[in-house]
Amino acid sequence: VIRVLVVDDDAEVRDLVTYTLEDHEVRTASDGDEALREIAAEVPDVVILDIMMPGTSGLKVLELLRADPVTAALPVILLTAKAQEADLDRGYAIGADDYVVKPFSPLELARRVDAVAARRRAG
Amino acid sequence: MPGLITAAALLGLIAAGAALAVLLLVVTAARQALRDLSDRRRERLDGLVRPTLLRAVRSRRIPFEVIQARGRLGRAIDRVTYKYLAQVRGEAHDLLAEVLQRRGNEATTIGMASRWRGNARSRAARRLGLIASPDAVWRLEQLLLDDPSPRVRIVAARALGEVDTPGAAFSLLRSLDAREPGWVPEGIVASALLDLGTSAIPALRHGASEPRNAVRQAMAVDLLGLLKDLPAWEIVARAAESPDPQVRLSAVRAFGQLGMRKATPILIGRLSPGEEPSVRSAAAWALGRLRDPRSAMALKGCLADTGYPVAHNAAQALAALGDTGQQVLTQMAAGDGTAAAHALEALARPAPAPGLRPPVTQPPAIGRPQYRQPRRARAGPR
Repeated sequence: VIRVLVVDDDAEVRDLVTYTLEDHEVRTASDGDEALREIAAEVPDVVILDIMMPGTSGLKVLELLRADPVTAALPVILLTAKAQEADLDRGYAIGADDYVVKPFSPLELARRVDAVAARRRAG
Repeated sequence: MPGLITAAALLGLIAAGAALAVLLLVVTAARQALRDLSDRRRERLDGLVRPTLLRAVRSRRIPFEVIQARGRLGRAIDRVTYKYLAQVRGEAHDLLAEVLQRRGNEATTIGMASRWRGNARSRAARRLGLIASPDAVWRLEQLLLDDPSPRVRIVAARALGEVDTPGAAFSLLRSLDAREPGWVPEGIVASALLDLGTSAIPALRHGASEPRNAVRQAMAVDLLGLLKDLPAWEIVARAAESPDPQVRLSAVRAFGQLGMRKATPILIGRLSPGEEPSVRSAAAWALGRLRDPRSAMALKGCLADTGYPVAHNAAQALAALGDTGQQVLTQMAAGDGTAAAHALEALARPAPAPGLRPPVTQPPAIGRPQYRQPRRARAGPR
């Protein structure tokens, strides 16, 4: 079972992703600080991370994860309403593994989660 | 005696004021309590319907009770469905839109778009954009072109940018022909067309070929460039010869975005001294993007231009040309006057990476393309 942490301030997105990934073990966090606490408590296999959140932004969370040796290789999929090149470029520069733009296709997201988790296991 | 009466009246007034204040407090508190109660009830109902809807999305089957529910529960289903609809695309979107259609909500929302209150019509426009069915798109087009409220028209334009039908792009462009200028702000229309992405291209090609409305033609040409529609090259080339300077400016900018070197002779033609300074400046910028050595001599001729943006962009474009441009700049830098100053400035800057860094005075573009996936998975009417 793949353990997934979904980080998004939007309850509807958390609901949709949680139900879409029903075969996975899903935890949720509604902001960046809560996400960091959840990851510190138990490192998941994949993190789905919204960029635009109140408080600690998704990119900051990603930066902190990459700076920590324990989570440096943790697969992260950015989930963002901002399809802007600059954000995604920065996300990739920090070390995001993939991204999905909102509005998103739940099935496509599930496939991407499985793909990054499989890559991590293979690598 | 009169003093006593005055004091009594004053006390009476104070007491009345205090009573009124207390009454206001009580009414405010009661209203807040009622609102909280209503919110809690609504939240509880939403919580009840969420799992059912999410199961439907996952299993791709709509339960009978979801379609039949009426009253508060029915309203909760509609509310939550719209919230989810705003977040998803593809099959999940189609299923949720079908929930609303089978519940009769799509028809209700289309009816809501005719209400006399602008707020209701705005909400209807937003919801119709989320549903994105052919009927909804048709009603959105009517709101965009005919609604008396500017706010409703703007919401309708944005909503049309969310739906994936070529007809939406034609309607958006038609709104620029409206009865009065600024019927819908041009920026809103351009942004909605960019949101449509490639599905807007047929309408944009048509708009770019149609000289009757220069504003519409200029916007269509600009957007074809931003969407990198290379087959539209000939349309853009014709627009570059337009009698309207705004259309020529858009065409020159589009050539810069398309990055095709066969546009070099046309752009060199637009550098001529008889051309508008804004067009000449944009042509110099575009030639810098094309990095075609054939433009070196024409750009050199612009270095002494009295218009700062023209000379500056020409120098930057020469710097982007590589060795040929560098030689011209070095030669000009040895002279004096403004041409030498521009050449020296360009030589002092590192050459921009191919196609990535436009010169400092890049002509303002309408917006950045955001290539979004269409919301609806299925094409055509349901």
